[in-house]
Amino acid sequence: MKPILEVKKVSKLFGGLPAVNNVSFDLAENEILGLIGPNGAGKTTLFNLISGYHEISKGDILYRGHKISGFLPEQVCSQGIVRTFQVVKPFGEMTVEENVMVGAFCRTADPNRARVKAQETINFVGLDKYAAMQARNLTIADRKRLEFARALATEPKILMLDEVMAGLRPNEVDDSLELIRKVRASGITIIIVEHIMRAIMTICERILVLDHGELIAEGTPQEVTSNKKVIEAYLGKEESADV
Amino acid sequence: MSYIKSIINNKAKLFLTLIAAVAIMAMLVPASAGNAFIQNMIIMMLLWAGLASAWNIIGGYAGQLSLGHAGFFGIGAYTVVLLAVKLEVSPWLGLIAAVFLAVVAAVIIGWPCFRLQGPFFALATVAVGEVLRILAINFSDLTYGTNGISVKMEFGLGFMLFREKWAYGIMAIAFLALVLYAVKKLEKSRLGYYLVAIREDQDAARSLGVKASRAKLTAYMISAAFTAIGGVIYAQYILYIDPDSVFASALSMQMVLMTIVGGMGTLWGPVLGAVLMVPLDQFIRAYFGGSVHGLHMVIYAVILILVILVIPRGIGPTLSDWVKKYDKKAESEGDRI
Amino acid sequence: MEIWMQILVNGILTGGIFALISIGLTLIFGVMNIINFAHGEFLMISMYLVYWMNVKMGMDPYVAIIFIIPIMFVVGLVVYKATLNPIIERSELFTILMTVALMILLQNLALMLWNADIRSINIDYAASAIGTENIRFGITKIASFAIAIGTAIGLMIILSRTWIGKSIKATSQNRTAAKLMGVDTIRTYTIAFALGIATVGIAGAALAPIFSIYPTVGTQFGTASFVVVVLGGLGNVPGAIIGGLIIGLIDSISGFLLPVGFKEAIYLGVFLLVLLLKPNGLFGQGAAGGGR
Repeated sequence: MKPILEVKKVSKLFGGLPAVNNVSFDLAENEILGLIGPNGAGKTTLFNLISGYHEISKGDILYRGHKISGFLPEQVCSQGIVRTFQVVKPFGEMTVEENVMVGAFCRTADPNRARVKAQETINFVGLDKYAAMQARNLTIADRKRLEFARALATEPKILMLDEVMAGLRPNEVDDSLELIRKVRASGITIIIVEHIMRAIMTICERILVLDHGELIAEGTPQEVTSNKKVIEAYLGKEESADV
Repeated sequence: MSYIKSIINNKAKLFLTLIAAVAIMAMLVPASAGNAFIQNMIIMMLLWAGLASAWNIIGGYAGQLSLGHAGFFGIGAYTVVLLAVKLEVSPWLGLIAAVFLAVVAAVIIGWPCFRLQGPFFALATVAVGEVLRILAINFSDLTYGTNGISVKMEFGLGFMLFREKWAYGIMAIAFLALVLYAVKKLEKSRLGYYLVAIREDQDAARSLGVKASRAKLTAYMISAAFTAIGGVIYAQYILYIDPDSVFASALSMQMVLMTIVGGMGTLWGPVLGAVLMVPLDQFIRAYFGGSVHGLHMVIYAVILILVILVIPRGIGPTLSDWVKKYDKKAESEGDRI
Repeated sequence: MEIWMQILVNGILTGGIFALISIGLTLIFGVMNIINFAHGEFLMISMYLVYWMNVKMGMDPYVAIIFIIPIMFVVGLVVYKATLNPIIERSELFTILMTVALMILLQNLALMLWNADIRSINIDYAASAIGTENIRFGITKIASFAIAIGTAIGLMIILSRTWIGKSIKATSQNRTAAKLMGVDTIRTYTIAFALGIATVGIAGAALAPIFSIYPTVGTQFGTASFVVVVLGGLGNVPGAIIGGLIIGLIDSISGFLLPVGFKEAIYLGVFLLVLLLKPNGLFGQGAAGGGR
């Protein structure tokens, strides 16, 4: 089957220094792909490149065979690729429901339909109790859930999750994992950046490892954890790897 | 009956109904010397409520600080008066031309600025406001420069010029109602949600498919159009315009001030702001007159500073929070009894 | 030909003045991300201070600089602590609004206290000039140009040699990192704001012998300094100096070719062009424009 997303020799330079260097990979329809690496490896930059927040210095990104590199973030989203942010960005003065409606408006201009869609999504992620609460009053775990719900409401084909589990308690992590599985079951393809190894190892079929902006390994969780380069990359910066 | 019930239940509606009732009663009383002062104040209050509500669309909802709205106000006033004086165009057609020109100006300013984040928009609006004033002074062949222009004295509905003040009262009420209706519609629409999302976090909004620059530009155009209408009504009411009165940066500041005092990004905030600030302004002017220059602006500035420091959300939302708290407290005390 | 040489010379000298006014504005922006809309008003306050020192005490405006620096520094400290510090964590909207409120307040306080009279300082050497028969260098303009250069050098030394200067630099490069490295952000903001106001105070003293003094004099120079700062790149001190020179030349040339009063329209044209073509300033690649 043709990959849903193709990243081809993508590089990003900041002031002449490569933050992402010549990275290529394919994303298969409906898989869960993990993206790991030490701090500063370029994971978030890669997310920013795919989602249109940074311009690509070199290379191409194709979505279902057509080029999306050069698209603006809002255009990438309407194509069906949505991302969450590592540092959550709730619309603080809006209620949870209104937050999610903003996402739902991506597919409809009708407020009533957007509200229905938002309510469905809020129920789906389990935020229904807080639907009428102002987003700035949510706990960090619920803010992450909100970020998740907003993204889902745009009806994406590809969901890119940037550390949605960082800072959560173990039982909350389990909830998140459950949620991600449910999302995948609904036919959505997922790329996930995560530091919590337990989570990423249990949920991903395939993992990419970035180090210093370069792709150093690719494979199943077992393959990756036994890869020499990967172990070196992590052992070299053991303190930063949250294993 | 159900309307009355809903009025009592809805504090905002109650508030508006009261204002409208007082305004209409004051308008209908024949003008005597003292009454003219009140009538004028009410017309100004309504006009300013409309102007502040128009500013609120871009400043309050979208969170884009426009500091040069006097530019649109002046464009409105000058367009209608010049067309009438030079080409004998009816002010009603002039109104359409004024709205059109203001929207064009909004696009010229907004298009380059809204693609950028940071303070560029605020900076550009200050500069544009000032430059329009300078152009109005210096292109004196067209605008009569600092001499200003008087409105052509042809009275009647067709000329949008009236001998009775109450007619302007009705125009101002219609203007305010139009702006509030638009804001209400906006609040419930996709654009309204988008604007608030952009104000709260533009990056997050864009990641959800919000075309931020387009949304901001649309809001700016709507806001500019209403502000120009306000300028038209002002010119037809005051009957004389000059660059320092209709392009004054103080006008821009007043729109900002009233909105902030009342409550930014809320439907009723700007109205409340105008209801509080216009009488204050008129009384200061009446009492101190020309004797202490700058005093009323000093008072404005102090109020603005205090509101930002103490109740940044504005009087309206802060009060309604108190009322809610009080209601809850009363309820729980009621339970105990 | 000679007229153009004269225009060039005037432009550069005026540019020095613009640069001097703008340094403080860009410094404050660089550190705090605040556009200080009251910047021109602090200039005006300083001009009045110098005027009164001259009228009441017979002090030479250039000597007054010695007193102006500490006075305006303290004014900056107090204003920052009272108005901006309490809201520094809130959205940019409020900090901008606060400086706008300060602008209105200072302008109208001046109007109340000193009325709208146009005042000027009379010093006996003000009209003297040096140079050849055809190209004249006004003494006061040369003096203010020299003061601009001196202030810029002084500020650069403070920024690169002193501990607080290094904190300011670090904070303007990366606020979060500076905070993590143990820089006391509040203190840095306070000092940076006060320094910015002190430099615009110096500018006021340098301008007082050349320009008339009235309550809204700040608006005119304020607008110009916004354009200078955007041109040089927001937060870029050396950029502000070059931006100042460019605007000085434009000012001088347009003053020659166009009727009086159109200058500000020209500034705006430059401003919009820069926004369209180089939003990060002529030399900038910083993040002032913010993403895409």
